[in-house]
Amino acid sequence: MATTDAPVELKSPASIAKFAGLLALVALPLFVSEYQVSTWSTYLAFALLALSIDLVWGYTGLLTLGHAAFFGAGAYVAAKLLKEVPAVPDVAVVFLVAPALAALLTLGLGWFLFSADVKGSYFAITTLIVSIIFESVAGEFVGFLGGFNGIYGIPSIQVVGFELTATMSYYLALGVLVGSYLLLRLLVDSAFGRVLRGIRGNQERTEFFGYDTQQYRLIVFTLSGAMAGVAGSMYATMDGFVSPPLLGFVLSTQVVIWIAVGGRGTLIGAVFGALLIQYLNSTLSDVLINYWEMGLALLFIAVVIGAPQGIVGLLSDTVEGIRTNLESTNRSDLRAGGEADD
Amino acid sequence: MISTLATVVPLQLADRVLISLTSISGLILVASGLTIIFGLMGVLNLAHGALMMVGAYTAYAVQSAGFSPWLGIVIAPLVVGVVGVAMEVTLIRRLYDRPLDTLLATWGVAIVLQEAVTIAFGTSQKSVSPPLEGSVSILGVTYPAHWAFIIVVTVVVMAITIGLFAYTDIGIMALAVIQDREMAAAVGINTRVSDRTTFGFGSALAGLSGAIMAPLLSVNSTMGIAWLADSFLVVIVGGVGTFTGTIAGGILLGGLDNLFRTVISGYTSIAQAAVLLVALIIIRYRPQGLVPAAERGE
Amino acid sequence: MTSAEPLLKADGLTKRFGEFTAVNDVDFTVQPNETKALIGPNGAGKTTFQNLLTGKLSATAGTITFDSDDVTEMPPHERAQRGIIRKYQITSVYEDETVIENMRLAFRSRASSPWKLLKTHDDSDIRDRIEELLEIANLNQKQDTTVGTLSHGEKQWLEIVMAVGAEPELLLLDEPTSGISVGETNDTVDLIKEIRSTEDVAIVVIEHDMDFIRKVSESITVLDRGEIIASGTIDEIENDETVQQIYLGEAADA
Repeated sequence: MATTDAPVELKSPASIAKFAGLLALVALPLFVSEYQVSTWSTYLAFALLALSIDLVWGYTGLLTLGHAAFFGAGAYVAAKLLKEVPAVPDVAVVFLVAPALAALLTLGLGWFLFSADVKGSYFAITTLIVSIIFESVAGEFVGFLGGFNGIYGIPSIQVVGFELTATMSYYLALGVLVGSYLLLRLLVDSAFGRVLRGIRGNQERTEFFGYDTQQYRLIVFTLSGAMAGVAGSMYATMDGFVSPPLLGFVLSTQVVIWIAVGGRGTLIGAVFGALLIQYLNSTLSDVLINYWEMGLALLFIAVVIGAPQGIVGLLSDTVEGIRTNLESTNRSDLRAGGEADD
Repeated sequence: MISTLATVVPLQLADRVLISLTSISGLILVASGLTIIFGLMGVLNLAHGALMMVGAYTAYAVQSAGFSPWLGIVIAPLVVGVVGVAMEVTLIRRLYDRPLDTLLATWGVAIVLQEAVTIAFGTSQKSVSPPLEGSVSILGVTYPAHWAFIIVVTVVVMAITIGLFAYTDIGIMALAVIQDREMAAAVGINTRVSDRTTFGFGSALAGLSGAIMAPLLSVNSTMGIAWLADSFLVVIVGGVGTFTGTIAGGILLGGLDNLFRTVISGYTSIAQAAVLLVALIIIRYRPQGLVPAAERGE
Repeated sequence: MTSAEPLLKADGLTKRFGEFTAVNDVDFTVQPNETKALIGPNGAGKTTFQNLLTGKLSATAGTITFDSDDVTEMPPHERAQRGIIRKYQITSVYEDETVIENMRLAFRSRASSPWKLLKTHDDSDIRDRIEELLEIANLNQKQDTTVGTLSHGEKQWLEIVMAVGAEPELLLLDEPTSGISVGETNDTVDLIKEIRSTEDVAIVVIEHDMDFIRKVSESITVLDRGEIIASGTIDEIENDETVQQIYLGEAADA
């Protein structure tokens, strides 16, 4: 696993790369049209969804194939409240109500499943089923939820009467994404995060040391549900349109693919994978899109079978290898006797 | 579930019963391949729906080339069986003790198959003609012949499959390999070939079900997804590892589906959601399913 | 009749799986700081008994009292919180993590709430102790090594000191010498002796290696077909005819 760096140190290549990426994202609106800025805002929202899944899957080992259910729930909450209940301030809707509802759903599902120690593949399949339920129910309620046509015309967030421009929404999304990343970084780098990895490695073993893993799993699952909810509600205000597929398992599994290819269990891999693949997706013409999807699926299969560390992991392994080579070259130059580094 | 069947306006009991029988049969037929691959072999094959879809497209391709629908029904399982064997050889055999990775990799395969079919056939919906046109009269009700055909095929397929695994050498050996690999190898059975064949057979069944069900459904690249979920539910709820379990699961879930649709008519998705909820509850409280496999000294 | 309050008291412990009785009416006590061995042929029920103690399996009948608390119904993590720590079998180290990360995880396990751990970012409070234990296990130089690359014996030692790091009052050592060489077995003996001398812990060793048992424990209990058939000092057991009969034909150590 890559060495953990504090996000503000600029010593290692990983930090430099992260910082460069952040700079590029900050500077993006200067170089692209307003429409594209709006599109990138949605990419950022999906990247946040990817982060939330990485916490649960990459770090805790709980494969969830239905996380879009919570994303979509947040999106629909924002859609309904922003359009129909203007009394509630937008900021509260997007950052309080939506994540609270999503967290509640996640908490309920998590408690239902973890209390019976449903894990592994059964957990994955169950979350998949939940996603399917959500999508089909949303498609059914034509009156309340817009049915298959969804809800459109969702306004941007208004702050004290002033409606955010596309660029402002973009920076809001970026801020939320970076903030969430830092928060999760703190979490996974703490002793709590170590327990998560213990659960991932061997849940029973971790229990036998005295950790109440059910509690830990419930906490991260609910937190990730809340994050997915925020991602969804932000998305609704930036895209202006929500529909049942936002809840469904095709989206859920798509994000899992982004994380796998980017590099699971690193946080940055999830963001990187999400942004890279969404960007590549958009640059391909309709004619090539099927070949691209197929190629991506094949790459995904390859990653699952042989390279679970993903692109970020492979890059950091390469850098480690180069660094170790350089160090041992130096050492042999100095003719130091001691440790043989392998 | 089979929404096209259930959109028929509420009818007499005989109609309801026959429609239920068809939709239950369809469920069991589609789930049969997964019963082998997931139920027996323990492989979490998320490509199951896609394999069914390939079967449907094979039937379409054969028909649009001018041949009889019967030929499509014969060729589909062969084609999909080959696809299945290819999957097993390249992927599945590396992932037998990695269930989560199997879920992911097979989902990747599903996408590959979906895209391949789109590239080959385009994005428009296809339709497939049934081998038996017209209708038959059963219990005084006029009933599409193909619907009756589905029921017959399901019964025959289940009988043959159960018989294969219970009474033939190949079937018994395949079971031996699944249940006690070391023992089977020690007795001289080629476990690799057995795995391949079993997986191929399960895939072929999926392909057959796709060809048989195709006339009732809109044939498109993502048609398999709904069936994927249904099949898993039928197998898990019914009882992982037994054919009687799948039959029981199909009857329960298919029956509930039809029941809910009759009771909550007009809200088909709610009916679907209700069935899924029941399935979830069963998974949570009785994970071994309705008809669990006997304890296999593990 | 012992006057001191035993640390662990299993009373009439029974486990049935349907028709099959794996553990039958077993009484077993461990005093604080005592080291006992539990032996028996394969299938005797040693693993089941251990699983009953740790809470992995729930008893069909009988009670388990630990430190004056009735723990019979408690789930594994609660028992571990009270000080029943099992040295897991070797395949259960966290293979992808480094030695030091494994240790840190073990160390923080007792009486630490998730919230407290969220705020814990460095290990300065446990650093010295970790190094002390790693030193005993001869793994201090390999702190940053990924566990998967360690030898079988090294993994066993890591497991043992991890278990010690979890501050056990009762340490269950499950076959600590399985799969390791004779030389490494001697090191394991030293390791356990060191632990016994420096730590306040009772130990129950489950083993086949009589030599090993002789060096590390005072008394033995013999289990066969789910029942205790003999209990006493090493010499008493070795001269017991019933025990000898059971081991005739068993490929046990000389």
